[in-house]
Amino acid sequence: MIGLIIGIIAGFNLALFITLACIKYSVDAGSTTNELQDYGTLNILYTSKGMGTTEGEPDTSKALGMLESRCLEINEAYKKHQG
Amino acid sequence: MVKNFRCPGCGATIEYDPKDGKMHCPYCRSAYDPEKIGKKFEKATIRMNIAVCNSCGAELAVNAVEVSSFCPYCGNAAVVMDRVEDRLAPDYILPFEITKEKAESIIRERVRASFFAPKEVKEFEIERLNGVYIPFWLYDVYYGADQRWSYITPRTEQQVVNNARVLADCVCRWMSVDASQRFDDISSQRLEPFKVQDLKPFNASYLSGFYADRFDVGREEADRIAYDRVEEMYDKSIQETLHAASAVILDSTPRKSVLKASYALFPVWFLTFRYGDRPHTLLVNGQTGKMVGAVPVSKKKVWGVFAALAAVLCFALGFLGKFCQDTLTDREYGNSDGAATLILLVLGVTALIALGLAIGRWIGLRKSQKLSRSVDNHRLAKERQVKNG
Repeated sequence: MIGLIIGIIAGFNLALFITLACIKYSVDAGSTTNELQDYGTLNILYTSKGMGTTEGEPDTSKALGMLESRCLEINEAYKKHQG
Repeated sequence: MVKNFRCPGCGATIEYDPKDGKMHCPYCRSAYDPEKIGKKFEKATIRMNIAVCNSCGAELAVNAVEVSSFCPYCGNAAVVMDRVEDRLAPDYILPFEITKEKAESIIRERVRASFFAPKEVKEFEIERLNGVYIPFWLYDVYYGADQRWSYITPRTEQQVVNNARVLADCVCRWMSVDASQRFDDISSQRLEPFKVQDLKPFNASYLSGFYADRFDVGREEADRIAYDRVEEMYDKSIQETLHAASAVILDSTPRKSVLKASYALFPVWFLTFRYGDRPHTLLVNGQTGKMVGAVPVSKKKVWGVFAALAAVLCFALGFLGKFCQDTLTDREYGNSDGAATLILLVLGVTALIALGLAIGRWIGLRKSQKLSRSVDNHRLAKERQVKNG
């Protein structure tokens, strides 16, 4: 009996999902595009991946300096262009 | 200050036509370059707020957030230049490329192709179809961050929490932020993308024959929205770079700045029709023809499809479940207990996943339908219709 009930519930839920998916596809138009690559490129300056803690990770001061200088440079370039 | 653009040849009111990007005279059928016509009429001004129609002499009351309007008496196009040029001059404009007829046919085709739409909706009568220039802020934003992430990668045998430190940055260019409070933010995002490479320096002559709103979302609020949007896209992108199934940011030190902000007008067609005593508004991107909105559904069709699917699937999966149960209890089938248990488990998991997905779809659909019945969008279209006479 339990097998029958599980099967019927699965069938009912699956039918519900398929119906709603078909309705959404059929009547709803226009989706949101919200991806970074549509507007610019992500520049990874530094990444450290690993398990556990990040203790003992390499010196990141160079990457931090790079981030700071890029931020300043880009801002200056825009100011010059607009000024 | 109101002005009509008049034909230099015969003096009749001329309007911008997206078909060929020129201003046309309906009487002598002359066509003019909007850039030249705009410059020619730059000095024509009269007092703001209470405006007199240049064609019939009627006094024209202007909505506080309107930039251009039609004369309610003679129906001629009149442009409120005061708010455009003195205080709110946009930097750019994307002229309409989709004509009124094309916008209507895009919507009709989409609605007719919709199986679940009621018959009355498929043959709907247009209550209003108005071309509106919606104000947007266009941003160039720098965003960089020093972040510590904790994340779980998919397909790992043991669920190990990984830590990562990521330093990255990006420059987002021409990101649009809806500058009209009355126009729903979700609708405006769904209308994207607009082809910003086709932006033209603002010229008021493009407004002639269309409606336009002025911005009422200030720079401060728009800056915040732009930062939030970039941050969301940036974090999503980092998570993808880490190949993380789920992730949390433990610590973040962002560096962000607005590099450039411009004010632009984007073209949108508003089509309103009535179904079941309720107004429904569908939108079309006036440049690309992308349609946004949800069409009403026929309850009869929904129940019919659901009943048919449920009958077939419940019978098939119920039979499969019963068969597996019998296999587990009946030794006659030999050593197939493992397979039967597995099938029962799969059925159980399917039931749960399908329910979760169904709820997700239901919520998404309700949101879209609510947007199409959006009071704000409908009010915007209606107010303009009143002006259109």
